[in-house]
Amino acid sequence: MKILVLQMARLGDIFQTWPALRALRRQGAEVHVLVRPRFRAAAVGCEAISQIHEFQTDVILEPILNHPVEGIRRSLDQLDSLLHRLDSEHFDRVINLSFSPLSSWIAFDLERRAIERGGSLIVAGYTRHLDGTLAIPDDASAFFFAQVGYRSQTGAIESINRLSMPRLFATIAGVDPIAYDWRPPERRRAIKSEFHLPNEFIALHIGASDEAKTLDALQWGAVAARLVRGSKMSVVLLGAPGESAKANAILCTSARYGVSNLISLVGQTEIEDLFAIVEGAALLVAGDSALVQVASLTGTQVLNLSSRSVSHWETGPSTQGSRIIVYGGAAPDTDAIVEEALSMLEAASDSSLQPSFAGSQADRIVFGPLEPITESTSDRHADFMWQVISAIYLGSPVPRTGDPKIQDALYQWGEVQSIEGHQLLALREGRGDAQQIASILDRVDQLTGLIVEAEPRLAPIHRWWTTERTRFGPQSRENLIEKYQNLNSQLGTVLLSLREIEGRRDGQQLDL
Amino acid sequence: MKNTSGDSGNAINPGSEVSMRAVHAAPLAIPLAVPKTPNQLAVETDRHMLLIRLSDAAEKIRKETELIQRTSFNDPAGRLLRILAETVEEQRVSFGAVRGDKK
Repeated sequence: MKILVLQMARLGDIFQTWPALRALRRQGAEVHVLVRPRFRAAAVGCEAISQIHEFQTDVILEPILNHPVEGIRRSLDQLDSLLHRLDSEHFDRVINLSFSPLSSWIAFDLERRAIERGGSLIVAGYTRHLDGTLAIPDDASAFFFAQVGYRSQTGAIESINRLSMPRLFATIAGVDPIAYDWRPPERRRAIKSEFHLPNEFIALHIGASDEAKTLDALQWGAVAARLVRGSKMSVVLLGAPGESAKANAILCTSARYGVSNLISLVGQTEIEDLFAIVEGAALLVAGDSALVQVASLTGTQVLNLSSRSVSHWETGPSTQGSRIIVYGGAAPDTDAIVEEALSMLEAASDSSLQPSFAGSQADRIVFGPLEPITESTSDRHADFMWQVISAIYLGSPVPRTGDPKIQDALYQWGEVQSIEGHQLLALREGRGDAQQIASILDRVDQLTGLIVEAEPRLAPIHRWWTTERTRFGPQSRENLIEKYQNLNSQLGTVLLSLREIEGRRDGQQLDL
Repeated sequence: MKNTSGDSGNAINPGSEVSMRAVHAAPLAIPLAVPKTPNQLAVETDRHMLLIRLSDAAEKIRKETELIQRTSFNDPAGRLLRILAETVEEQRVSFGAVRGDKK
């Protein structure tokens, strides 16, 4: 089987795709990927990839941006040429892991081209219906649309989903990764002597996509100096070329503390160097960045300083023993960082120890890339919402809050859902005024929105329900009514199960 | 009955093409007002000019798409135009434009 994986996001996202790519290759597939040239380096080291194709935005847009009259034709020719090349590979499957409008149209075009030449192509991930509306063919992508992607539309920063992106990617690809799929490139550069790296060191990644999301030079300097003193190891600074001035300021700060064994590789490394450097580190201290994904592949423990606006469940480290400190508006406390890092080094020195919260102030401790999904945390509100998601999508027991407010909201929603059911039945049987029924159904949608607004803990159910509607696509009127009826019935099951469980003690499973 | 299967193309994660993390991006700190250097001003002017060119390109494609809209997406030309339009739109968004905003 020949498969094209669309991964048109950034470095970290590409690294998180590696386990799925390896699992596909293990099944015997010939795996190609489509990436952006700027992030190609993140795909080069993955031996599961047979061929890397590039979506060259600059080449495609150059004509239309620089030649007002004939530019559009030439830009279209550039695009056609790329898509023709991809089509001529005669892929059996396209797996779109990009979740974007652009990638959905690319997947759709490849599907159509295959049909037009008399072939066929199976698409997983976002694509398009024939009328151009969004198509979400697989449940895992629908999960992403409903419970992950909504945050970009609503600006919500709470992270309810607890499935990591590598596992979600693998589910969309239809494969089960194994722990061995999280490993570094087979061929990586021996760089220890090239960069004069010490035998034992802690790596600090000083940068972040947003400067407000990481420590400033004074804070990093203090952290580095205290880590050197406390661990007797050297500290290696990592970062992008634009962070060289910050690295120099960190070196100056640590010198003021009387600590000199700091090495700055900021701005000196290529993507392919990072694997060997991170693999050699006893510990990586980093914000939310692609280096965390590199460490997940090299098996290096990470102390992840994770901004509340980023979901550590989705993109955090996966190496067993890694810890995550979540912080809000201000950068995390430097004392907590140093104490946590030193405690991790101590725990790592005894390999017989299982990761534990003992002596840790971390918000989360990681038990490996395939760890069981965390069902309960200190945040009961988020736990309940996750457990609702888990009940709908994963068949977990329906959760219970014991809160009468939820009971009331479920009762109200149940009433509205029942009205929708009756109206759909009338529509199907040709009873009543269709226009009036349509107006009532619109009102049902509005009321449902108001109920969920008043009780946001039910929002995951609302997102599942509206996403499933989106998936219907263009249909005959009869088919559409039938699909709406089925969904209405499923919604009824969900609401009723939640209502029943509120009055009971034992959990029960949904049967959707 | 409201058919929610309408074109939600504009609703699916414009940010995630750039990064999964952009999905979660929300400003947490108010940036300090710092006087801009001539270099920063030049970069901003370049970005502004590029955004104008991208918006012009988006408008050209939109007009072409209107011409072709009578045909379905069975037509390869219609599909290519949509892909080109999305490519331009992504760039516009990465330069700070609001998705779908014609300005």
